[in-house]
Amino acid sequence: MLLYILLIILLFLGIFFLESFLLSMFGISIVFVLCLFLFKKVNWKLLLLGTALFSVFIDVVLNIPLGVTMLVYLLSILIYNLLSFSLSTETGFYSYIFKFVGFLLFYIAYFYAQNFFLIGNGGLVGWGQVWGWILRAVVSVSVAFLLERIFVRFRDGKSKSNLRFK
Amino acid sequence: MKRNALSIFEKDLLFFPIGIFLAVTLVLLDSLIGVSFVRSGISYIAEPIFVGANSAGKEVASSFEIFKDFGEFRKECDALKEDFNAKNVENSYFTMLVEENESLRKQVNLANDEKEYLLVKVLSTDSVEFLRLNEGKASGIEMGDIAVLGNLYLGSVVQVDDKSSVVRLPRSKNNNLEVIVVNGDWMDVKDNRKVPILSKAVVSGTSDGIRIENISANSKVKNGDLVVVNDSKVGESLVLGYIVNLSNNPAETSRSGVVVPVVEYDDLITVFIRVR
Repeated sequence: MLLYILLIILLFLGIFFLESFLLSMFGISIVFVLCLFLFKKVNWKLLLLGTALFSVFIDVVLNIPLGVTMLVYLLSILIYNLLSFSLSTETGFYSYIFKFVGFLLFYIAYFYAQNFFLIGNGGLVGWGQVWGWILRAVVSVSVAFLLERIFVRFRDGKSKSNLRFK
Repeated sequence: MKRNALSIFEKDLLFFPIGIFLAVTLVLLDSLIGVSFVRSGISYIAEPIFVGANSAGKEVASSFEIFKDFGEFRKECDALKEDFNAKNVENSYFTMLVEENESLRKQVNLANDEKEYLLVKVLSTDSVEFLRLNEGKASGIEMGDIAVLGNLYLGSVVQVDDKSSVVRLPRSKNNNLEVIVVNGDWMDVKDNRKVPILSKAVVSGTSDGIRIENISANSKVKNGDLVVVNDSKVGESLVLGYIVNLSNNPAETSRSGVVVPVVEYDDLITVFIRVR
């Protein structure tokens, strides 16, 4: 039991390190990629707890009010989820289109939220910034695609959209 | 009822309202009341990890910047190359001006004031034995005219046409000259001061350079002594070079050696032809 807790703490810190590294290197949020990937695959209470913890940690180090990152995560996933009413977001080519839209909305919302809380306005947006968002969304979709390929072996036999950790 | 309540809380859609409520509550708490104790506690763990990861990420990102700026580097490199080439051309022109200035200074300081000289440029030094010059008959150059630089002997004109001429250098094969070996400075030669003549000799051009022979075995000639041209074809005393590799065989009746010219013939750009 203690080992299990220790492993979870180490995994949490490892993902936090990776998030900080990728945020400063390319501006890509691996935590949001994981959130979107794990949405409807794991218990929503676990996902909410993980999301809340990560977002609070990120808010502290980025000096923005607590809860802002979580709000952005949730709103982006909500919009992504709303798209599932039109077509499947689990499998197929369109699932990646919806994921791309979800990631793009997240990066745009994250940029504005940070600017709003740090400098009080939306900040300047140029074509370079827009291309940056699109590129990040493409890279995030690629990472999500890789995650799906890697974790395909962990699919639960009964329900293929859930993950089995045993 | 209980089963319905349980089933409601199992639905994934509860993720959003509960999550948004929690997020808004945190934002309001932090903005209105402030939760600095939570921040300081979390930053104690999170800041060291974040700082380390952030600096590592920035290092990697800066190396990728090089690829992004590669196009700019290329343009800058091309512009610098053009600039460098333009400056090289300018530099070559100034180098030639400096060389001409030095030659003129030597000529004014060291040449015979009673003679008349024509300034010419060396067109090519491809040949080891000859210099091609850019002036010819049209400028008054004739066969047999002597090429000098100050009081240094460079050769004599062996070919001349209207626009160019060819000077045979002392190192040219079978080019023989009568010389004297003196112990003194070349300025003494210029001023016609009485310098002790150590020996008469003959120089000839060979594939190994300028050879000096027939030096008197009893003379006090040594390495480093000055070799001065003293030939009727030349008409005046002009410095040729210095003796090196002097032979020291007591059985020989005469001594020989090699003459090293004062100037490097391959580096000549400006020379003077004594026309009168």
